[in-house]
Amino acid sequence: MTDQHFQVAIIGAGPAGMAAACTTTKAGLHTIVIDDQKDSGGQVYRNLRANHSLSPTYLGDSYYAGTKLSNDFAACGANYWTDCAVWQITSSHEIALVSRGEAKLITADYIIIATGAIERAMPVKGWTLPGVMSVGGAQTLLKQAALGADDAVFVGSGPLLYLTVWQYIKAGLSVRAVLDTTGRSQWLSALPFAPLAFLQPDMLAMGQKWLREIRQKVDVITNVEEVEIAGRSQVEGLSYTTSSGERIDLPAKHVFLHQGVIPNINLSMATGLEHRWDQKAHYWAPVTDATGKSSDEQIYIAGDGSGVGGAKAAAITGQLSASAIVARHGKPRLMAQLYYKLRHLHFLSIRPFLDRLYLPEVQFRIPQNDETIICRCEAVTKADINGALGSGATGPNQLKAFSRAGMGRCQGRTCGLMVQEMIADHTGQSMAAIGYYRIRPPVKPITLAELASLEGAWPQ
Amino acid sequence: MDFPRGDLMFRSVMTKTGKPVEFQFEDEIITAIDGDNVAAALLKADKIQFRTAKKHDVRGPYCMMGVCFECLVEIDGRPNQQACQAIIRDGMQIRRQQAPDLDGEYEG
Repeated sequence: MTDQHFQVAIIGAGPAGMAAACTTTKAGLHTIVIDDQKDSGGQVYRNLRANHSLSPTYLGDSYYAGTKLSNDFAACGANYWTDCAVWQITSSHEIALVSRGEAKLITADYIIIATGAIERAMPVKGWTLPGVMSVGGAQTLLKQAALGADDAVFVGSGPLLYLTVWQYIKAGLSVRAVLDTTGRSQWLSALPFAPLAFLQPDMLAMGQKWLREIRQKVDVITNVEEVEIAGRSQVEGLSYTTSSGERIDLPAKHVFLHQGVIPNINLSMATGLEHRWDQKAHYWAPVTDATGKSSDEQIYIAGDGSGVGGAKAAAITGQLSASAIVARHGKPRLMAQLYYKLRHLHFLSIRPFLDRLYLPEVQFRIPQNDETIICRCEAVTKADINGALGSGATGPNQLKAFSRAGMGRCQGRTCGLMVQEMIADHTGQSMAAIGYYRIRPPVKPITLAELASLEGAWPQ
Repeated sequence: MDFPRGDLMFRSVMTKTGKPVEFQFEDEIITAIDGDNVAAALLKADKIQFRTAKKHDVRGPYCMMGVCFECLVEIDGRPNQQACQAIIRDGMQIRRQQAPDLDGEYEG
């Protein structure tokens, strides 16, 4: 009982989804793109088409680099449903959606999951206080609503942190400080991969430019440790330890945290696809072949959701998966696929360096303080998790039952890796052996009334 | 166009044009621009405390992309609405969301 059938359904209208749709529609395949935002671009090119008419320069070249892709996508002729959340892909490849209060099922011969990345949690004391946001959240406010906060403190590491600070100062906002938590050991493990990173000179040069311009206006403090945020019902300040062991207090109303991004795997996990633990990048990613084909022959994963590579690499993987699907419709595209694959490998050349440099130290992956919250939804603290481990919980799902961590509305998106790593520490097992929460549909919230609106949901 | 610094938590860095809409947050009438998301409209009006979680924690928007579910508010009587995903509409009635084990007292 479905409303519509498509040859290709693409979930997510970020760079991977947009590029995939351009490729499948060009080959004449009946394509639908489903996205939960009101305009295309994903997070990286969010609100790009609306911003483009006003062209605020503070968002920078790396943002406007998405203009051509966004325009090509708008003109490509794919069906495009906005404000539309996918809450399940069934074993018979029905895609269950909810949009504006109504649920719907569609079917597709091939599905491309292009749901991108989410930010890795940075669970320091006080990180749940109003006034603390992720750096991605702060950047989204700037892109979507042209809102910024003066005198914010940015804490953490990674390219997105520096890009956002750069955008902040270009927008005329004052930044109190950047507290970089990248440790010396990370530099040491990343350095051997620096030569490979020089295959991406543009990206390295861009990073250098951001840093240079930031340092002219903002205090950048490196090797920061033991970060704690203080406040009662909102942020009042934060404290940290410098590399020389000095404890510093800073008053602040805004603290923006970032420790890199990880694949958003909730939909691919809930669909029952195989996943692998990537020990170097320290995250779970779906198992795919070179074209992004998952453990289900009909489902492909493109973009950062299959392993973080950034916006340009995401667009290439979208083209790669799409051209593999086109080939399976009897239109071989071997040269195109080879070209996309080489381009993809080229874009990935900087990743071994970045992945090692920006893998957060343990003190920023696991809270140091017993009272720090791990599961934000259910307000479960580190002490609560340790209590559950002491009571004999041996895996993420059992620990969920014991402590309620991961049982809230975000379905473990925030606490999943933290809980898993605490179990690994406690039991001495590897992260791969411990596994992740069992993620079940619906992966997006849906009310009973919306569910009941599904045609055929009730026996006649 | 100059956007002076004020006492507000967030400020505009660019002129955004659009139809003004009025909505209610708790007992206050607030003006926003049609098409803004609810979380941005509230933050712009200096409202950063959106709900209480268990153990009397006060929470506000965190990820702004629909992942963390920290910005849940009650919109037009419907609880558990993600403010960062909902679009502000004229006449919307928005309330802070209270954790079930609390009786609704804000400290902030």
